Amino acid sequence: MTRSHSKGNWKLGIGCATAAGLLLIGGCNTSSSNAGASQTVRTSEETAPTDLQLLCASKTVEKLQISGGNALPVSSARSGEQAYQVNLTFEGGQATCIIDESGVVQSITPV
Amino acid sequence: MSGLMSKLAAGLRAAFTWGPAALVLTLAGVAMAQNVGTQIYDNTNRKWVDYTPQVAARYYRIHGQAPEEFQRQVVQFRTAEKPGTIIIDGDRHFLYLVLPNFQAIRYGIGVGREGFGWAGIVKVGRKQEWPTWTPPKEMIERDPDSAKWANGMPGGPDNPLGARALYIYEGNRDTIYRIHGTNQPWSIGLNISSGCIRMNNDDVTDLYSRVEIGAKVIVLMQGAALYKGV
Repeated sequence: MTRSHSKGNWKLGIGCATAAGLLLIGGCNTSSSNAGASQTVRTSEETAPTDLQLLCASKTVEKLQISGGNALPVSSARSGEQAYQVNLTFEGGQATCIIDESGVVQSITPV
Repeated sequence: MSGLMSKLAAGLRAAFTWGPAALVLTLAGVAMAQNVGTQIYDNTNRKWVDYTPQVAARYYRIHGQAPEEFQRQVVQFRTAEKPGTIIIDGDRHFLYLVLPNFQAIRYGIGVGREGFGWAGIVKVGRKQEWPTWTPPKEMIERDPDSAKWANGMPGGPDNPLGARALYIYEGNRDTIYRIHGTNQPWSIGLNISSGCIRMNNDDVTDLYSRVEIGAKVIVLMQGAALYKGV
């Protein structure tokens, strides 16, 4: 009886470990464009998420009425706890855009 | 296994000498900063390590694919760009194909190694299934072994351009850069090419089927040379 009980516990332990393992593996998946806490890869430097860089570009084109309609993000970095600075270039100039993590542009400044 | 090991070793050597494009470009605003690289979490040592070609080859040998983040998946993507636009984030090693309703298909990619990266706004000028690869003159000078393909290597599984190629144009001019498949699927996530964007063959075949000629292509890469015309 004791042996059977102990065998049952052992099986239960294996089951729990397997389930925990599966949860951990599942936690490695990400379906967001932003890096999550459970990521298995990252970049050596933190850059702004791709979509936020492009939002900055489109808002800059709109605000500065850029001829040709194109502004290209050339670099980005975190700016404070919940925002990013995105540096942009366009025909005839450059600008800096600050955008928060939710995608709201806080400022656009021609350089 | 030793056959696979020697293939990977040969692949590593070839990756640095047989990149599919040469840099014969007019570049503006050159600012050769250090490339942003990929790092991977090492569960054994509980620390982040650089995702070097050697680490990538070992990962691929063990898992049979690149890390999960580089697998094809639909993601949320807030953008004003229209569906069908290709957006390449060379720093994060992702290519996005914009879908309706603020979504995109995200694919893992390999990009230009140090000094070979670039950024710009261009377009898809041409598409080709199982493309022929012709090493540029500069590449033949760097790697005499490639001379045997000076008149073109026929398309096929050993061809460095892989199953499909999207030819990148600026206006009506071929930039010599391509988005293409690869015979080195372990190299996704690396800065390894001569400026082309490489994808695994399944992914490039999927992208090829969805993209139309004329599609806008936006390439982001921190500190890279800017393609003239931006």
